[in-house]
Amino acid sequence: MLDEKQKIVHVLDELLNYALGNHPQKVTITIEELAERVQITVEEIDVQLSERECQEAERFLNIPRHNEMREYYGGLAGEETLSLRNLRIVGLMVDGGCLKSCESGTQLSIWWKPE
Amino acid sequence: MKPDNNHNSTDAMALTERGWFILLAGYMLVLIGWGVLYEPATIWTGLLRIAQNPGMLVNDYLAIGGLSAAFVNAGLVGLTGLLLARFNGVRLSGPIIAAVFTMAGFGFFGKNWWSIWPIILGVGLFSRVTRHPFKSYILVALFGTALAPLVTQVTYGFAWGIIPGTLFGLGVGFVLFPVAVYMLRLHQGFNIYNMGLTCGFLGLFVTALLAGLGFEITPTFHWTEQYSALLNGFLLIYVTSLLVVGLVLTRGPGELRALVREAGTLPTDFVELYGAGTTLINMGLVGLLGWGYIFLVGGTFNGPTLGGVFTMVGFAAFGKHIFNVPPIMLGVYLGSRLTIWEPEQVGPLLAALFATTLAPLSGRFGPVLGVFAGMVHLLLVMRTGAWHAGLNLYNNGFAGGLTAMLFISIISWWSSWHEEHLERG
Repeated sequence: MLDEKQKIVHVLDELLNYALGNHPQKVTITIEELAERVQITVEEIDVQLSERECQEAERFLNIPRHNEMREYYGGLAGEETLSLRNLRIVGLMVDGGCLKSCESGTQLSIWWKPE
Repeated sequence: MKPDNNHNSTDAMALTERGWFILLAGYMLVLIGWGVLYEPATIWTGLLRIAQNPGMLVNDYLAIGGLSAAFVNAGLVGLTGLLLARFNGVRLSGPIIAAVFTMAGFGFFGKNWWSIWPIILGVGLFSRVTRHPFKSYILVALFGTALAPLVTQVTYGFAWGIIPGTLFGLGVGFVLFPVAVYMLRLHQGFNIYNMGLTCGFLGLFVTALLAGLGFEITPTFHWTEQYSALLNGFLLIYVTSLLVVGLVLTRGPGELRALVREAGTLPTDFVELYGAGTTLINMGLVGLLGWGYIFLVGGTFNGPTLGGVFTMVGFAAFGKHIFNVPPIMLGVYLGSRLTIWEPEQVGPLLAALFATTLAPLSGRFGPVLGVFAGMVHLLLVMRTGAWHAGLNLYNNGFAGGLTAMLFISIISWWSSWHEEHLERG
């Protein structure tokens, strides 16, 4: 039952935890309120991920929508510090996401439709 | 929009939503069917006795209502959870499978066909007030039936009648969700039975309220060994059949090697991640671990121990697996050997089965810590039941939550301190 502001804060917390684990030189975060969705983009400079890592992350970000999981276990967003670093909790809270990695860095985007 | 199904399962035969429903309904109907066939003449009187029993820990419904009524009750309670999920359009994945098997398991000792409803309706009332669909809170509603003994204790234990009992159930059901979400953060998802911690916490206040009003709860204890040999065979066939169905679906071990690398912290939905076949194989194997433990320590197969194995089986779709479970069980076993208890006694035996709520600790930090966590858990769980007077059926979830909080707080501090000192060189 998070409002949009709380949700952005908690999702950002999870994304930052994930991004900083890659030890980037620089991280840029963009939060956009588009016509029909909220989008957050995290760009990590000088971080390269393997294709397999990108695929795994996208798999978590695009798991089917489960209201019951999101309402209950979404409460863990922004709270985890000891669990293995992945985007599983973020995946519960968003409608979709993608992760692209190239020589210059990595770009992670997630989005959801506000309720 | 997200796709309906995107797990990269290697299953030779996929299980659709309808397939899962038929499978789970089948497993619940087997319980009802065996109950109906075993001693049909005793069912109605048995179900009535079960319905009127306060149902607090530990009251074995096989001792109270007989085998037939206990099995029919367990099947009905599990089926209720399944149908509620189905009719509310909830996807049948790991957490729902865990809820259905847990409900059925506790249908052998503590939850009955009517006492679960006031709690569920209380959560439903919360959903109406907050204007969110009931399906958003269904996991809390299903797992929250751990407090069903509050309903039966007020109704029959205190003899206040059905209306006050129902009102108590509605009341605790109404506050379950916010408390459950908060409790989740305290252990960071390392206690799989989070609702056990939630209901135990609420149980402390309810017990205090009742005591303050001058109503002390008198514990009752029912435990039968009458059907142990019969249930030994039944349970072995029941859990092995899950393994066989899984093997048929995957035509091999599936993705079990990848699955057992998961830590198992909440939420780890094996159905979503590895598909139906691999999940069913894991459920069968974890069930066999539970059955094997009871068998090896010379424990009794009855309602509560069946409930323990059913809960393990259910959560083998949602975090537990054959690598993160054994260290915890070994810890409880060693703990009972080193202390005043014996592994086959009621408390330590149930603790070994239900302590697997701490499986993520072992999965994340290794088996040695898992063994240690199991030992600490045993010490605590032997005391916590008295704190809530047995009103919370997930007593191990309560003790497990407290144990996880202890370990997580220390490990959190240690990892921060360690990282800071590494950075300083």
